[in-house]
Amino acid sequence: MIRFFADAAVNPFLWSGLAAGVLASISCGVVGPYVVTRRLVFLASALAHIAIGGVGAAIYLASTYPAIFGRVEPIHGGLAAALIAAPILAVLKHRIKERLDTVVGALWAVGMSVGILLIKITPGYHTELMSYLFGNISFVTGRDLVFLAILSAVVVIVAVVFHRRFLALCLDDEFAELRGIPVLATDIILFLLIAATVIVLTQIVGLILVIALLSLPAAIAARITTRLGPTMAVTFGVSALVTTIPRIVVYGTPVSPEAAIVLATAGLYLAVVLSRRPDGR
Amino acid sequence: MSDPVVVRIEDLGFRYPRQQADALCGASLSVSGTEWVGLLGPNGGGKTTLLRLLLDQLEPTTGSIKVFGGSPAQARRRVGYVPQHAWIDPSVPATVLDLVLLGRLTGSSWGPFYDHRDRGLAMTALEETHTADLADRAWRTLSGGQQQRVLIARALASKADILLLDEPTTGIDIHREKELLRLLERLNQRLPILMVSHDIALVSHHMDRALWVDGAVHELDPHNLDSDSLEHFFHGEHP
Repeated sequence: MIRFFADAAVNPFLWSGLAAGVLASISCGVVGPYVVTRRLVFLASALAHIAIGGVGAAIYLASTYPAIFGRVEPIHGGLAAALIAAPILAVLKHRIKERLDTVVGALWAVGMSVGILLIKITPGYHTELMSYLFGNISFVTGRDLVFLAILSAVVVIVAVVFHRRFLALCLDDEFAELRGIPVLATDIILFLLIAATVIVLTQIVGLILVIALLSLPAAIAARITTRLGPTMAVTFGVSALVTTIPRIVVYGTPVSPEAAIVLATAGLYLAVVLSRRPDGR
Repeated sequence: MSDPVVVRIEDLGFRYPRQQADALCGASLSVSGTEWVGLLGPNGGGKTTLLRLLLDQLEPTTGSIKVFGGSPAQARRRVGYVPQHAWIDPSVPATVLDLVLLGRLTGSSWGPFYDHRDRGLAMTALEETHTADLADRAWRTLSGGQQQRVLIARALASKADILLLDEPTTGIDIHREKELLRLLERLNQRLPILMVSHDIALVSHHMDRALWVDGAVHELDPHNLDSDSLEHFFHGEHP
């Protein structure tokens, strides 16, 4: 731990990694509770894996057509793929009453396969895919932070505008429809927010592990709060803690900070589950 | 002078997609003033379908529905609905007040918070159903009887002019059922109520009218209802 702060004095990447964790926790705090309470963890996980197809496409295009796509970064491709997949998954959720898990599982696998295929046929040797799959919190740049800040701001603004509608969907979507709320359109907005948050969290733990941060802090918070607003605040706090403390603790050891973040979150969740009943007693 | 007829249904027909038979065929009925109307009938007879048509959740195949003189879509905000099974996830962190405030939600609700007026109307609805003391409780901690009263409060919070209830007494004990019926009797002094029930005695003792729904709608004498007198209806014989 002491070594982390000693090195941080000369290595600004260490501070930007921590800043990225706090920024990602904002989106995580806002969107995570919706994902958990509307039971969208599986669909959110599918979004993360479909985004890998976009990452592969961006790497392929930037390498093959540098004059046109030279400035496109892999994360932009991931964001585009996730934003395209979000409304498709929302429509599937509403239209397919049976075997939704099979269809979503197929899309999940196709997205990943497209990403791997495009990387394979991209000329040269590319290590970027690994950092997007498993995260690379040690090398978050200032440009990454600006990207994270913009996405987080968009997520917060949209969530503030739509909060009452999202809460209505989480509580009772049939009644929300009776009250004149367009449930499918509202779900599409929510899925777009989830897509943006998946990309934000990718910077911290990678697309493979992103679902842990999107679901576990919110699941912890939901067990110890009785209203969605406080749930969001606690989710932010838990996310901020687990994206910073484990990172500092394992610094200088062979333990991957991304894995430490996820394992610490899972351990905290287990502790809360074992110590509290869901009704808070 | 306003039309005393609250609901007028004429020659209504409805068939679900990919089904061979009509769920409703040639159904007609009217509800006036502050009548309390019980809907009895066999499972699959079309009682819940009838409520869903009144709520504009389904489109009639044939016939017409008028609610307060307009289409169900136009009247949607004036209709309070208490479902048989409200699927409210007990793991959602929400208080009773959060749930009742859904009754104040409209297509023009934006932003994170309900205003002072909406919260006042939600609290008034909770007081009317004697559940104001539960406002800050988590939904998941309520008993079945308390949950039904809160769902009625949610319907009242929308300033409903008619209540549609789908088997509200299912799964609650006799004591809670009596409390619920007293509440409905009080509300019925100012609101018409259309209520699906399988309880013949309940319909007979509390309601002004009883209708048998088995695809069509047949008027029954609510004060001469017993399982023997309904036997021929169960066999599809209509006197």
